[in-house]
Amino acid sequence: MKLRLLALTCLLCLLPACGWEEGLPYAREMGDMALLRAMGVDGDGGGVTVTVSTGRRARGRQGEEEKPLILTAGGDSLSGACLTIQGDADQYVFYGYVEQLLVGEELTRQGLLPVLEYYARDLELGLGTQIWAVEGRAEDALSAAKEEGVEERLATMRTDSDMGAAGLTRTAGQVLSDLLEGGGSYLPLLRPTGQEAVLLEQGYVVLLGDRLAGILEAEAARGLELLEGRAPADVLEGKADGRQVLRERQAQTSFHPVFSGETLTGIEVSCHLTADLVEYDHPLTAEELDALRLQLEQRAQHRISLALNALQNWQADGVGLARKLGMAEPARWRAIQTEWEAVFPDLDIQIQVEGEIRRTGGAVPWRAWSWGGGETE
Amino acid sequence: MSQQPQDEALHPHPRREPRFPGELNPENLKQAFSDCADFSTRTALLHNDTSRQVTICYLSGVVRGERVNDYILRPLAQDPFLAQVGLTEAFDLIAGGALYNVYVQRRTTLDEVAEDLTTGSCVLFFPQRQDALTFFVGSEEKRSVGEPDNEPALKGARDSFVESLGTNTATVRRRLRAPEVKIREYIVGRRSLTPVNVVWLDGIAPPETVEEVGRRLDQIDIDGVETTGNLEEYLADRLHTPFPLIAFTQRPDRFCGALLEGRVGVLAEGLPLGYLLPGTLEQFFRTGQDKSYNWMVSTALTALRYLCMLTTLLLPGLYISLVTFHPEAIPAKLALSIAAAKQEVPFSTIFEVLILLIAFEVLQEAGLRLPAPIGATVSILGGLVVGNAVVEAHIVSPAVLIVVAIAGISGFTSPSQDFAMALRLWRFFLAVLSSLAGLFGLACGAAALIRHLAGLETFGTPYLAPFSQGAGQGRGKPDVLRPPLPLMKFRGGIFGLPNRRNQR
Repeated sequence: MKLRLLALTCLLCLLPACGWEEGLPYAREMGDMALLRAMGVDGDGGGVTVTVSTGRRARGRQGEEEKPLILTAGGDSLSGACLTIQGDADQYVFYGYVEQLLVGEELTRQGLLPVLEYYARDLELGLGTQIWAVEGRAEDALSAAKEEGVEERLATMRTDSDMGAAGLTRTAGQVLSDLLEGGGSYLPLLRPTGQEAVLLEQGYVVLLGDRLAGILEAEAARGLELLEGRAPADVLEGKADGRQVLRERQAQTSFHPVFSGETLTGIEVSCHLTADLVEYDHPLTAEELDALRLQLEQRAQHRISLALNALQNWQADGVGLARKLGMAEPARWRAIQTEWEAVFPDLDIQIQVEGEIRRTGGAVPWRAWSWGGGETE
Repeated sequence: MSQQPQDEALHPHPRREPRFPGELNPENLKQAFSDCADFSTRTALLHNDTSRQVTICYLSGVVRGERVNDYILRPLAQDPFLAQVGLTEAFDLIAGGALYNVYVQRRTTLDEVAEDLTTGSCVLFFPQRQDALTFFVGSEEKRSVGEPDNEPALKGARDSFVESLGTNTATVRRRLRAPEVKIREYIVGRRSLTPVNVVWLDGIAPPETVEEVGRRLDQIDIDGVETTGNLEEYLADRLHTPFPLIAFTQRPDRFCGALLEGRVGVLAEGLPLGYLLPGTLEQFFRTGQDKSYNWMVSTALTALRYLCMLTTLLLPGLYISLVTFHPEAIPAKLALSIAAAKQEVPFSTIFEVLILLIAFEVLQEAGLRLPAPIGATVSILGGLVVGNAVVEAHIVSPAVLIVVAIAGISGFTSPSQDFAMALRLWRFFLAVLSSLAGLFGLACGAAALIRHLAGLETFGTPYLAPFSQGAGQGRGKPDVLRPPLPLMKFRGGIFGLPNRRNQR
């Protein structure tokens, strides 16, 4: 026992001499930290400008809210700018809680890869961070909301997206893996609107390599969501007489390659779109439902067509079509990958949408469904 | 074999044998009990015959006066049969049962007589004889059987062990009426001469364990058994551990249940509890009520106790690690809340946690040492008033107070307070390690704890049984949780039992 204690004491004495502190985490007091929630990165020619925000902060046990702490610094590199921010701040700046990343429009033109790789390598930052592109400068978007901060707004957008009430959101990790695997990706685009520069969803930025290829907005943006198997947060108002409103709920999209001999010549896109009848002013007949379903299918087909045409024009496979086709035809995976860049712009695309309307209860009189074709009232 | 003589050579502790040399007669006995105010002696005449005088000695207070009068003095004075015989024949008749007493012994040495006197016997000397007769006429004053304070029962028996060894063994006999219940008596303590009984079920308990317990009791050479530690620390395999290696219970039903599992029980005069050997880890998470409740409820409660054990052990260290070293592992909103509360506190998190842990121990100790009504006041004052004041004064943050309180309360769910106290000690150790190296330190501490527990053995059984097994030995039935009783077809977590199956 004495020998063990002696050995333990010797070990504890020797460890500092061996530089053991370097291998151990270092202590920091949370009360002395500025916990950053959001980061904005803008491209400035060859360098970058980094803006960070803490969001609204609580102080003391009563939780009195303080204004967000917003810091900005420029530099030739991200780490240089972050270091400058650290030097400018009154508190230790902790990046471990950065969950939202805004990238400026200019940076999307310069290339996103350095930022994403920085997130992958940094000890405090993580690839689970949500990423948005901002029209204009990210610095402006973060600084505009000096009183409230943009963090709550962005967090709400993400929650709404998870619940299907908003557009798609992406993480830095998803974008990075798309870029590394397929050479293209997309990220949601926000536009500051109004005097208070409220950030609103505007569509999607499509990346070719790590740079901006184009922007999908409005109907084309909804088409991208359908391509990703996500029903747009949208409603369809019927053209027939009366009030008939459908709410799109689920979408399931599959892709099949079409070959001519050994050459990839086209893509068949099949989309099953489910919508709920959420409003109506009179019980709908079967014919009216069919018309509504047709309207739903045509709109979805149009959206998908717009999105795919744009991607073909930009030669940017932002949604990973090559990978999806390869998975549909594993035997020809390599052939598809090899010739993809050459054939993608000219592929013949066949889109088939199958609509389904649910929750029609009461809309169609029950006799219409009775056995033996009973009379309807 | 040679260990004991070697120990005696190194650490001599000679015992005077015999304790009282000399012939057995009233004069020498009086000398042995000189300066003893309670030593009483008187003479009596056999059937009022002045030529036939006997001497009676006893310790007043230890014996019951009525018994001396009714069972000894009255027959000596009035029994007509004794009037017709000589002294020698009368001695033999009395030794054979002429006096109405269950316990009569013929003694030939002063040591034996002195021991009998202290246990409540009365000595009868006949003139011109080198021997004497002792009769048990003790007062047998004892506390009545009450409820077990430390192990209350909501559903089940409400009796508990008392300080009287005889009562305790009788309680066990009443529950287990099989003649296979064996009770072997040992005397422990040079001065106290405390009877200690080893109780086991023959054919179920491992004979090696029974012999080992007896051997260790024989080796105990102390002045007296005045506290429970006098037995525990001599019976335990290792002293350099805070963890209890011997379980104890106040409840006879739990004691008997353990005997049925194949454990060996130890009861001692003056101690209102029974020891259960060997004490394995899972035993300290069981209560006597586990078999009384529905098996699902019992299983959930047992799992909860294990969870609370981890909470009380790891929570303070985990809090220090996360808040001080790895804040990124805390959810953002919780981190913001902790950071906000921490901003006006002047002390470091490590200092806060350690100080509050110590304060918690101080409060608990103060509450235990005081009479119950004052103890409750101390708890309220310390826990509520002082706790609220230090938070209001920004001396500690509310989060730390909550963490320490949760850790403390979780520790109270342990059925064994001995085990809970060991966990409290290790909790400090883990908190200190966490403050040195964060989660790395905590993980190292936890590994050291597992290493320590895995290295413990109690009467040949690994302490972690049934979680682990001994070298070359099969693992016991792993009844960590409580399955339905009809499915519990094998006895508990120790191995080496001659008879494992307990039902069809």
